[in-house]
Amino acid sequence: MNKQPLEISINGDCYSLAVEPNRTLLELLREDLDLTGAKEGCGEGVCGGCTVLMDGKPVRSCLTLALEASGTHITTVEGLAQKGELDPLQQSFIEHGAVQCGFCTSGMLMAAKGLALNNPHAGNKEIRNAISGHICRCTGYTKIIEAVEAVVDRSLEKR
Amino acid sequence: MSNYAFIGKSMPRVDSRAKVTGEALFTADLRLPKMLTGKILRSPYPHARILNIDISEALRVPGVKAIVTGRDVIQRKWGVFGYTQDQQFLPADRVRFIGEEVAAVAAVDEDSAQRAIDCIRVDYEILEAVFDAMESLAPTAPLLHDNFPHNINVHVPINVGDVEKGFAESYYVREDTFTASEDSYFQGEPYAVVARFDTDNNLEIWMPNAGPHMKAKPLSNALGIPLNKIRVRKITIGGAFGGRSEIAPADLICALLARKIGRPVKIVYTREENSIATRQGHALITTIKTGVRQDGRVIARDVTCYMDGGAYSSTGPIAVSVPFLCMEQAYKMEHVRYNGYRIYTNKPPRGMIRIHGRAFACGVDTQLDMIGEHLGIDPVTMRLVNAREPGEFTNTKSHVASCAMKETITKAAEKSGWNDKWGKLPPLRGIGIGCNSVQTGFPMGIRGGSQAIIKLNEDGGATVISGVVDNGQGNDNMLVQIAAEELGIRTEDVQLVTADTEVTPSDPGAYSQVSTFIGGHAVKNAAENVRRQLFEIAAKTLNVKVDDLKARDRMIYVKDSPDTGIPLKKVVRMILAQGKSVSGQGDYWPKVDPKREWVKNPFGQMCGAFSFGTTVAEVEVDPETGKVTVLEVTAAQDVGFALNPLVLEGQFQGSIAMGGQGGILTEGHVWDGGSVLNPTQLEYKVPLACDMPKINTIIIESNDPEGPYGTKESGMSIAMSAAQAYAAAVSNAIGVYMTDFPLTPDKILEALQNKVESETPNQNEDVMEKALELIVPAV
Amino acid sequence: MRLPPFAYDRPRDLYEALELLNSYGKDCKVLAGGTDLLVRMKQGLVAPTHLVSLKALSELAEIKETGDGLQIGAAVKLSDILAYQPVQDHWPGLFEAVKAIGAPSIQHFSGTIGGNLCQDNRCQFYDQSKFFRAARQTCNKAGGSTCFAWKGGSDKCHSACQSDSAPILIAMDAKVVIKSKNETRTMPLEELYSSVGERPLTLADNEMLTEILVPAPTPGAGTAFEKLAYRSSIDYAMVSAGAFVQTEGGRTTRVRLVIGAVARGPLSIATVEKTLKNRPAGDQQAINEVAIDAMNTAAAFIANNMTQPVEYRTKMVSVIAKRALTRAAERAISQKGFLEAK
Repeated sequence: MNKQPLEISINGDCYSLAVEPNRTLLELLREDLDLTGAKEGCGEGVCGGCTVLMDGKPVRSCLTLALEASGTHITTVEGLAQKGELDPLQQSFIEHGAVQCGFCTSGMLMAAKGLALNNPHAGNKEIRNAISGHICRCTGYTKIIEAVEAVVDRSLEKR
Repeated sequence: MSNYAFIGKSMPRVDSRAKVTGEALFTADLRLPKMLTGKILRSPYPHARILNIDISEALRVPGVKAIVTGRDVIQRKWGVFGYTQDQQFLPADRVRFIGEEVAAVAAVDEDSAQRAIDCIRVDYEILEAVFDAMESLAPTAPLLHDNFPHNINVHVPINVGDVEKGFAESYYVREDTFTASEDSYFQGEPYAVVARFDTDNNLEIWMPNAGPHMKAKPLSNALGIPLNKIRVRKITIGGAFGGRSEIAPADLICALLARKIGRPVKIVYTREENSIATRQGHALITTIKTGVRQDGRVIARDVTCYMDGGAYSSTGPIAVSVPFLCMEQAYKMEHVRYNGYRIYTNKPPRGMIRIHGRAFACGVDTQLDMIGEHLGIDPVTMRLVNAREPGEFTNTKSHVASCAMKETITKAAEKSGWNDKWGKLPPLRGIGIGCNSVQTGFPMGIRGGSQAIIKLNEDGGATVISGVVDNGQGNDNMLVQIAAEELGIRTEDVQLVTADTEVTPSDPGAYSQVSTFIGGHAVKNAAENVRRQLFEIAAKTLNVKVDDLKARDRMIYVKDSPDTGIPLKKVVRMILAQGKSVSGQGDYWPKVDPKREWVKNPFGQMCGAFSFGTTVAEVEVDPETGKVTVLEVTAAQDVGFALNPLVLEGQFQGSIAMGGQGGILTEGHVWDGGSVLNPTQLEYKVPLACDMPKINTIIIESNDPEGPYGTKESGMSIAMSAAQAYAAAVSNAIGVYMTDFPLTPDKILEALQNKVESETPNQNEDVMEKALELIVPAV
Repeated sequence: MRLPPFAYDRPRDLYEALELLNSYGKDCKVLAGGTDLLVRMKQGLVAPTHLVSLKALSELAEIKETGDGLQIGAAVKLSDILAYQPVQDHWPGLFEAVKAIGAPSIQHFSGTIGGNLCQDNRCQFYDQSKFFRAARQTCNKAGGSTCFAWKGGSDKCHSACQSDSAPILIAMDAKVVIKSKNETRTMPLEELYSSVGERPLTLADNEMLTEILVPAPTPGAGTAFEKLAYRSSIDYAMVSAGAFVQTEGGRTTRVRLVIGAVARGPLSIATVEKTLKNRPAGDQQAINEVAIDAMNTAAAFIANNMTQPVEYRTKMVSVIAKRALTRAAERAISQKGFLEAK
């Protein structure tokens, strides 16, 4: 099948690419651009490991055609830290012990980031809801929820 | 004790920064020059003879570089034990479960590999298959392995004392049967392997593993090359839970493809492949007969357990023994008899899992509650009366040096408000308690010990070389904490070279809960060795005795005068200036009975220490749907000593999710013959954040005399006891003892309805039925 | 998991999209959020040669309140429906249903309302990998001639319609606008469903669902959606129910109950109107009677198409129906959060 042009911004970098229609955004990131932070845990949109932000909203990159992302801004876990400074969510995940094996971590962070961007007042219930499409086998979720809550709390303090 | 710099302190893990930035590489993330993609052709039949494999068309598919079949492997069956060698990787003659490996392709990309797989023609002669352990025992059942009569893979008989006499002396005796379907690991990371050979025929291989050395030896055998040519490399691992312990057929297949074509090959499993072709948990039928005194103390127990082992042995003898061992460690009894059978069926092979033998564990505790009810004794007292105590021996003659089982019970009961709740909760609310004990290690013979090497650089930094592997539980951080503590340097001064079979000495791996107890111990000993070398020079320089020194924060001090000290790196340079290097080794071997053997001689010291855990769960049942809402869970574990409470809490919480929330409420495989109907995360119900309860964690320290800093296993006796507590809480809520796990809403509702029917005699049947069809009235 | 090859078009307007559908015919699928279609393509269940993307069709991505009610473009994202204040205020049943679909980061930000209504039926023997299906006979839905979900086999497909939004929208008498290159038709949403498992939608190959029209809220009306699943997120419903209750002076004047996830299409319970009409709204005995009717009606359809037992799902129809009707009636009486604008 013929490749089609794709203009896309990923973590602030603009790319002009040519991709096959059946290439998923996840394959584009992992295989073509070496951004392996997004993980394929199931390939059918259930596990949450491949979640990235598309124009600030969390989406499953395994169920998004690369071409469908044309003209959008994509943020992956590699793009969360700015100039070597970790995002407050990343720092909070570390401090709260929210990371065990780490396979779900990038997806969890992107879901949390999506929540923080769209609903900075999120409480415990909203946080649970926002990450409930993400499967973690290690943590029992408690420390992940605490890590996100701490950042939301901080953002409230600033107000 | 509190004088440690790092030990016993909650500290973020050293591996977490790489994981939150996405920089940590898992096996599937690797890319090597000229790397090919591998795909495996699997048997669609549960039992069949392979008559012919025709790969000619597949070889013509553009982009295909190599194909391997049973003709490419050494015909030698593999097994964890000599007497369980039953699995030929890439079998040439016969397949025994749906999903068994038949052939594999390496191609330039995944699409080409898949096209070639689709072009391989296999002629099968379909054989009769058996999917149920009890049917498999029947004389008419098809035999899976010629040298295992009646499809009995393993039989573990244990008989201590005289159970019949014990029953005769008992005040009350009862027998109950408990069952559970297969459960699964569902590690975050689906299985993956990358393999490459260099020009000297050295194999480099990456895969999620729970012990690189446990992978290397069978690979060496299967490939026919020496152990020092097998280089299992360190890689980030996305969870194990018991399911990454052994060599996997894909390890060999990937290596064979790489060797055949002379290029690196990567195989990444789909979620379905991970579910049907790695390992699963056993299905169980357990019958428990228990005799007690009037005060609830167990005198005798007779347990018969049938475990559906699937098509091959895997860790069979261990799998059959462990549920029994957990019971005899947790609870006292004078007389005990055990007959554990692992039965072959035409289903995927089963291994050890975090809540291994849930029907067994939940059966023991459920029956304690049944007995308690009969005797008028509450569950907490039932457990206190029977709880293991320090200094005792288990029935199979293991000495229990440290044990705070009773404290876990009382603390968990107190924190959960047990006394205010037991018997006082409103209808359909329930509270339950479970206790368990887990081994800190399995006897592993010549692979049971660990050795570590530490070298110090001239700038005072250390490199720790150890075979310990981190599956996600935090072992890397544990090693760094220990090394930094013992050497008196900062955690950022420690670099790890771990889990690499080329450079690291042998280590038993992470799957028998010994990483800290054995591997960490070896690092501690190595660090003490290196520290001694530093202190000898420092003592001379400072003009004090070696024993007067301590090392902390990159300095070596005189203990009582903290102003008198010398920078550690200066001491290193002084040693180097004398023409000596600063390095040292240390090792640790568990003090176990070398003659103990799983089947032939299941007696003697099992392992160095035992952990003890108690969980209390409080639930609410919806009487119309049978759905369970878990309100609060309290977990207390005797971990010996908490090296890093932050990490421990995470282990407890994860254990409750997997053992209780998933393991008892939702998780189990559903079958159509030999086909798994729920191999995906959509249909296999791993718990989600929105359904998790409030969790209280209580760490109890009994300071094990043998464990480094007093530590022993942590987390697993919570996973087990959480399963028991959840089961007990549901039973308590509905007033029916549940015996078939998992306790899905349909089973709970049925139990409730049966109860209401039996309690509502002489009613007009039509009216009853109509009422029941709609709702179960509040109990 | 790889997607099979196909050609991709991203038309700039609806006209162009309908032109493409017309020329490609049955080899073409409309791509909205992709959360259902792409999974099926990965599993090899469908293999369209062309995908027509709705991404650039802003005219389908609009949700607005008009005098006649709610007008929702087929490509409106589920998250946009949830964020739309009038839906929260006046259509609580719809809000509940959309919220219950999948999980936020899976469906809500990608999935569309049209996609949810037009998703294919599901069955545990069909929605599986190629490998799973390879060793067994091809089932009716996959073009063969057997059904594994129906005891003793069947010459019909017994898959289930798993749309969470369909039952409540049908209960509210929603209409859909269907367009092709040469024709526009508006019909009740229930007519979108064929009740044929093999081909559950009545759309022609060149047609597209473009709009959903939800009637304006009337005084004294209430809606509710109920869903039963093992987990509170991700899962498809074992049973779902959408209920609409119109009251006048405390009595039920009009009522609809639609059961989801049990039959080949959303299942309207016909007897509900007869039993509840003119009874006091929320009359528990009458609701129970209807709930039993719903269960008996559903029992004829429920097949072994999910991993949960058929008997249990059948029983649960009565419970879920009862809960949906009860809550809809409560809302009708209290008018809470429903008619504040009027």
